[in-house]
Amino acid sequence: MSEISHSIERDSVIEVTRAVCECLLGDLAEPCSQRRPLDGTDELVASVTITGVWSGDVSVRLSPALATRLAREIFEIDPTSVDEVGVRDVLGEVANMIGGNLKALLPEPSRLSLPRVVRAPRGVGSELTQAFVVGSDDFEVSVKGSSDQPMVRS
Amino acid sequence: MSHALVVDDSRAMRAILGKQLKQLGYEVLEAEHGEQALERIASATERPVLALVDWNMPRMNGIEFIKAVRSRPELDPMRVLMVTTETELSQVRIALEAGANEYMMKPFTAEALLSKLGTMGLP
Repeated sequence: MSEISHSIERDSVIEVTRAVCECLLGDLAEPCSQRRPLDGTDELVASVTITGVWSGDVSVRLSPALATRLAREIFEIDPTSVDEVGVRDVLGEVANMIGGNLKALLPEPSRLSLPRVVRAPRGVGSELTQAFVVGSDDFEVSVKGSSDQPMVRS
Repeated sequence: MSHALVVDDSRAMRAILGKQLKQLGYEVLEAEHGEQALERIASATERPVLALVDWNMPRMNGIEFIKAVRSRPELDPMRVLMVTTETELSQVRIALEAGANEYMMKPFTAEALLSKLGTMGLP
């Protein structure tokens, strides 16, 4: 992992995201150049905000199908038993872990917000957007510095 | 079978940690925050030998819970492992000074958890 700097680098995003996927799913996420086209449905976006020397948002964006798969595998339940609360809980923890570990690469002190989970259409890329494929699904992690501190290196 | 307590407001983390502890042979109790964890300990038929504790939780956070545990001599034998995304050295120090025996960063592997339990003298 890279040394502490005032920015978040793509390699750090890849390394942290792969570790989180291994912890939650037992699968490694592989980085890829871009995601497959969306079938028109909204996606789920889980975000946390880092505040400190570097401030900005870390977001995880994925399809409802992958979110359901995550919840199903973590809670060991059948797909019909997966509820919205469980899905949001899982996605919030994913964002919390990725954001928390990226925060650890920044100078102290930094603070991490509680995670937020919303449904949203696929948007334009942030300063740093990295796509991943896990099994037959894909997702992306994006990092966006606040307007006065756009210190993200891609 | 030894009892272990998982204290985390995330249902997903409770499920993941609970699954790993069961594979290691523990009977697992769960709580969503520190207050509920103290209630679980009070009502348990057998006192947990281990607590895995998140930091940021509503009502009573992990540090407050650990301090409450360490203020009760009858709970001295319980090993406490803080499992959190709070990674700053100053925070690790706060957790250890509050009475945590070990500190583990999320995400973690099953091997890392096993290693931490070994460090605390647990199977």
